[in-house]
Amino acid sequence: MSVQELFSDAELKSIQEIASRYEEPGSALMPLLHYVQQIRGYLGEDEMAFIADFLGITRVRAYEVATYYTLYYTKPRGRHTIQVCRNLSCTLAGAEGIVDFLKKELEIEVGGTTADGMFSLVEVECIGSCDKAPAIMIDGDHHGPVTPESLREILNTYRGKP
Amino acid sequence: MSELKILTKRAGLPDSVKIDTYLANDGYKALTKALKEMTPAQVRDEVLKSKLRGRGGAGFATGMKWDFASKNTTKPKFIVCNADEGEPGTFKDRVILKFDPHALLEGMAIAAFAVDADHGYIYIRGEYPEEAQILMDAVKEAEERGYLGKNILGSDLSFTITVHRGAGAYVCGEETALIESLEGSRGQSRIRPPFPVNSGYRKLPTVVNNVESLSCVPHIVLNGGAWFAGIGNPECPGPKLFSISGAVEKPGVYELPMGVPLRELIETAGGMKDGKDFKAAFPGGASSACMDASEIDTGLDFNSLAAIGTMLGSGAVMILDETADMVKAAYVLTRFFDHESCGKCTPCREGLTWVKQVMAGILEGKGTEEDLDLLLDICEQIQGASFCGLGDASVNCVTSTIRKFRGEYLNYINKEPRVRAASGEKS
Repeated sequence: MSVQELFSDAELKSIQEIASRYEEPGSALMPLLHYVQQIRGYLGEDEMAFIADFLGITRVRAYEVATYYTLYYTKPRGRHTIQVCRNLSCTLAGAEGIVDFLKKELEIEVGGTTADGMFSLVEVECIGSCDKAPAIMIDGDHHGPVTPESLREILNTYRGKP
Repeated sequence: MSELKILTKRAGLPDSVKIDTYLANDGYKALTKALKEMTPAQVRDEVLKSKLRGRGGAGFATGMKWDFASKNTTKPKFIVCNADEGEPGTFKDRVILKFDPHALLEGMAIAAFAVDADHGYIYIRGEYPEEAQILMDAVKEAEERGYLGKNILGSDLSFTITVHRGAGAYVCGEETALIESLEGSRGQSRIRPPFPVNSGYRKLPTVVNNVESLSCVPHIVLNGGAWFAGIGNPECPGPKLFSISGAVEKPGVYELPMGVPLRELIETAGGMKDGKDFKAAFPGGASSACMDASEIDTGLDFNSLAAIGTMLGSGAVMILDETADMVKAAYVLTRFFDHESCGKCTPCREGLTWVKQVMAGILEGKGTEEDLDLLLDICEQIQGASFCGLGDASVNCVTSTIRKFRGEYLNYINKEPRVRAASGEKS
């Protein structure tokens, strides 16, 4: 795929700006993966290959980095990703019940995406909201302590968001 | 015990993230003092005198680290702030990142002056996108006002900071893994030595300090190392941000002197939730051995906790009440470590999977008493056999719960099979 098909001129400009923040080309890899994921929703193979070529690093390195970190997604997912913390403080506060509720409410398993493409559901380790356990993140926003009732409302607000 | 208002003194102010609020509340006074009235050696000396030990978990003397770094004259040299707080139960750096970002920037600029560094990086965990934006805005403000950038306040110091987001990997909180990640690789630990002060980011001298450690620095410069050393336990002093979560009425971040007894921290956090009895605490997050009720009067500091076989770590105190299931708790933590092992060292990578499987078997009612010996045996083989401290510490939750709550394991082993546990989870 040609560059023009992958990224618009404005997007290319952003990519160049991010890369220019670092003297070490490899250091720009993670910020660029974040950026591509932000505009595309996930990291496609063509996009990863382009970023690697652009930085002058091997394509496999971009791929191994993308698959190492929890917050990078190499497959398409729903418009909003719900991350439920399953670490100790959240488990003590009933995180398992939260996962069970979401599975039932959204009719998906952990790792799945709703039929309308609205939500993906994943379990994650500590998100640093232990004082608000049980805590979840939707996209970049922290919520907690959550209950089935509050979750219904929270989900509804995201249904209206782009 | 009454809470301190040193590191948290600006956190409650309106617009606390803005540079004008910061400047109106002693902000950048310490940097000005360091640049205009002190030599780098004098700054390092005050930090040494303060006895400040790293607040990220390892507790290494910050002044000593700076001394090592100052002796290496290779250039360029870097200050890297570890803002990857990923230890389960830790959310204290977030208070600074979210409400007092300039305190961190000022601490980093002073560190740069003290060791003659050229550039700074803040490696912030991917789960804190809002805080990352706050930091980027703060850096911009500081540059516009001349507190970062070329020839800061007319001095010879030129230093600015790049905010770098992680992407969700616990092991990147370990300094060598963090550096690997900053270079754009998988976050896997490097063997030490060489230590980062001699060969860190891009194989150049690099000081890696925690957010809270760096935020202590302006206070030390302004008030003197002796003042800081007079707070809390004289052997490992200072104010400390404790993250307390679990079975207390008011989980949150509390600033108290080093060495505050666990009992008083719980009282400060509103006491035990619903008036239940205290059963256990993990005082330094998932990596620390648990404390039981007989140890509730132990002071929370590096030395006192080491003396009872556990550790302060980052000050992430997780409280469990009388209803908590210690086997389940240890299983949840083991599952976490198994998931987060970077995979570089075989004992940690393979061993944790075995520990998790044996633990799951016990929870399912398939365990035997021999399994407890087997668990301790595997744990012993994991400890001391990994490149980084995270591997070593990963099984403290298992060994300490077997030692202190063996009866709960035996209840599972001697009872009818249970249904719960590992069903339906991903690996």
